[in-house]
Amino acid sequence: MTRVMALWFPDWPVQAVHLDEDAPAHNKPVAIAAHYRIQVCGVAARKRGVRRGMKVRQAQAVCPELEVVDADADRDARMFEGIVASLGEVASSVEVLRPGLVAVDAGAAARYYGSEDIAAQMLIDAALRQGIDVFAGVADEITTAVIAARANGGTVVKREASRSFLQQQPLGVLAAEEALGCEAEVVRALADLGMRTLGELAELPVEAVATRFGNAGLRCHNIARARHDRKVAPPITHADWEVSHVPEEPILRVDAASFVARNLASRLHQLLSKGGVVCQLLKVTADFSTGDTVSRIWRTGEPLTEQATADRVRWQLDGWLTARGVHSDDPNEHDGITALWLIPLECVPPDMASGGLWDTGRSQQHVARQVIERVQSSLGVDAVLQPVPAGGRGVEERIHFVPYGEKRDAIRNPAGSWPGKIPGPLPARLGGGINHPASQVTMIDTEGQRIYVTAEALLSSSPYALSWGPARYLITGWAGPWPVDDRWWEKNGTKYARLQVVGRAVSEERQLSAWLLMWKDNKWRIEATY
Amino acid sequence: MSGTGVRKLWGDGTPVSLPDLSGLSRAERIDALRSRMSTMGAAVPKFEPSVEESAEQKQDSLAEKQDIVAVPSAFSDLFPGDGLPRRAVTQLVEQPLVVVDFLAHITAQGGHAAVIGWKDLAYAGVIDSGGVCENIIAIPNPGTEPLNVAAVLCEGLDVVVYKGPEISLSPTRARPLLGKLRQGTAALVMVGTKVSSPALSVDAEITDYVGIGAGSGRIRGVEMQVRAVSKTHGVRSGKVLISRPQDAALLEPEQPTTLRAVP
Repeated sequence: MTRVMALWFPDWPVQAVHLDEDAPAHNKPVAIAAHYRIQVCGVAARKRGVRRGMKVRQAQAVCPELEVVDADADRDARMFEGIVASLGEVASSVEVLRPGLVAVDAGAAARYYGSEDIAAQMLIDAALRQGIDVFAGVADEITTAVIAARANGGTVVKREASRSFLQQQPLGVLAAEEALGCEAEVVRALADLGMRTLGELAELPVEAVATRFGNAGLRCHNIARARHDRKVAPPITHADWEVSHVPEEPILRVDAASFVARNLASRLHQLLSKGGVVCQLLKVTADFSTGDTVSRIWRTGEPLTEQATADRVRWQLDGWLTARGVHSDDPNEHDGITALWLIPLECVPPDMASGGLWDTGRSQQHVARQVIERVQSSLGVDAVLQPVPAGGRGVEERIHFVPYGEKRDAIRNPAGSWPGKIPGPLPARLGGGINHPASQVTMIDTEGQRIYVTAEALLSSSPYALSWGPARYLITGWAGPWPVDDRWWEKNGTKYARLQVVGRAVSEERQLSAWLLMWKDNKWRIEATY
Repeated sequence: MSGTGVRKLWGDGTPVSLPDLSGLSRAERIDALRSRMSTMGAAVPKFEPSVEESAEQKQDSLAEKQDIVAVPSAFSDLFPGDGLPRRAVTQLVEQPLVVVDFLAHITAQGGHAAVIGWKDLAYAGVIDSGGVCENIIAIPNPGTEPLNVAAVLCEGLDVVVYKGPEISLSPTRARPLLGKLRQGTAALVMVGTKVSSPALSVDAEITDYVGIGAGSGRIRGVEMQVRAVSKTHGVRSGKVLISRPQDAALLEPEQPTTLRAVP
């Protein structure tokens, strides 16, 4: 479980102006302006009626002594650097979200200093400067911590309490903090639809938000549901790991390109292994002789190996050369690759759990995948299957199989409500199938009358005995029937019912068995055996 | 072959007469025999604690823990080392509920499992009991050489369940499989097909279905009599109840409710 602390310096550009001055006067009204409008204003200015978005002349009319400073992103970042440096002395992982807002890995700091409280105090002390305001928020996720820092002058959200904290937060906070990355237009649209708090947004089904608002909506929804799982990344200080290759003649052929790709990948990995990091995000850039540059970013779930890097570069070059119609048999056309770069954009220290310095004696994911792929190559892709949950009421229909390695959408929503669903523990052995002749059974009552399900979905009488092929059982218990009127709106919709039956064999072993029976087309059949 | 002592013959060739050990408990008997072996000059192997020494047994070393695949707590008390032995064969009676329970527990803890040759196994129970389906692969039709498929999978997974015809594999046929198994990571669970001297052999018979009456309740748990025979720990048996955790409260024996006067 991660803990993240966000430190928020409200109206940072104004505070940066104060820090930049030799003798700052903190109660002097200051505002930052861009394009003749007030971008940010300090507390003193706000008290006198200045607001963000006002025209500068309007603001000066409201508050004649207002000092208007031009916006300067450089100054904001430069002044902030000093604060980040002092935070870096206290905590190991400090990530700047924007000048004026940092996220710190509070879990690591808490482990080092003994407790979260001490760590938080140390961090706030490190960030303090004379006349500078800072608010802290602590939570499990970065986004929640940022919102917590802005709520009531800083809040500590308890572990796993992010959802209940976010429930009461106003929706406007998503647009107010640019570092959260929500589009103001989407937030406004949500507010127009009558949503006031993040809790109301979180209650919406994720599909509904995704289909109506796309990625921007999903982003807001994920924040409201506290589903943002990115961790605070420690900065990699030495980032000069890019490698390049300029061939003497433009590369026209795919095989030549793949040779270069392998060479570049090997050089990159030598550099990376010297730095003790692995690459997770790789940018491949190529210059063509026509003068244009193309680039592509590759991200993988696990660190890229040398082989994987070489493969990706080769695929990419292959794709580019093919798409541009470059052919080696036409020497007059010189639209080949003239330069090639590999730029590792995101490097992290190798994770101890994956890869593994020590053999833990258990299987690891990549080894498991290797052996499964070996079996797949000998038996065929379709012979190695993976069970995938599907929605449904019975036993068999709740699972469908896809070939290993393929991703398919769930055919029915497994999380949906399925009234009449058979409760667990579920039987583990499937019958021969509903249409299999061997799965047919007969049940009778004490009078010898056959048991059936009435139109009111009740049993016609109390079951007494069951026969399945040559075997005879005395029924000791039954539950149900659970009726289902499946697809009643369609022509091929059917009605059926399920029944749990426990019986003891009328043989010398007197063995106990239980079945899940299905009543369909006026017959009882075994759907599955417990 | 360390620890294989050769019984010495005393001069004239008559074997040493053993004292009568029948009156002693198992632990005392083992102690007496070990001390005799050491006087005879044989290297006494460090045996694993016996059944009676269950308290000491709990302090299994970390290395030993890594040599098993953890199973649900109801079963772990019956198995040596509290789980299925890795790199060894476990013989299991054809009881799909037990397999599904194992799969759910193992995959929920991040383990990888394969089921070979079991067409009518229902995986819905794995998800219902909190298992992770992504970590399971199913090979219902393993082709003409199903043992080879099992051998390959044993190299890299945590558990491989193999269901084959009801035959006993000859040592010649089993040898390639067992060789791969020893070098891999998996615990091999064999159902139906038998090998000679498995590390653990488990028998499970359903004794009761709990929670269901004549037209009332529903099946909330399945009670089994489980018997585990291992080379190192002898025979252990006990009753095991397979149920969902959320039903545990309903399955408690009913306490007589006492009424209290409310003022």
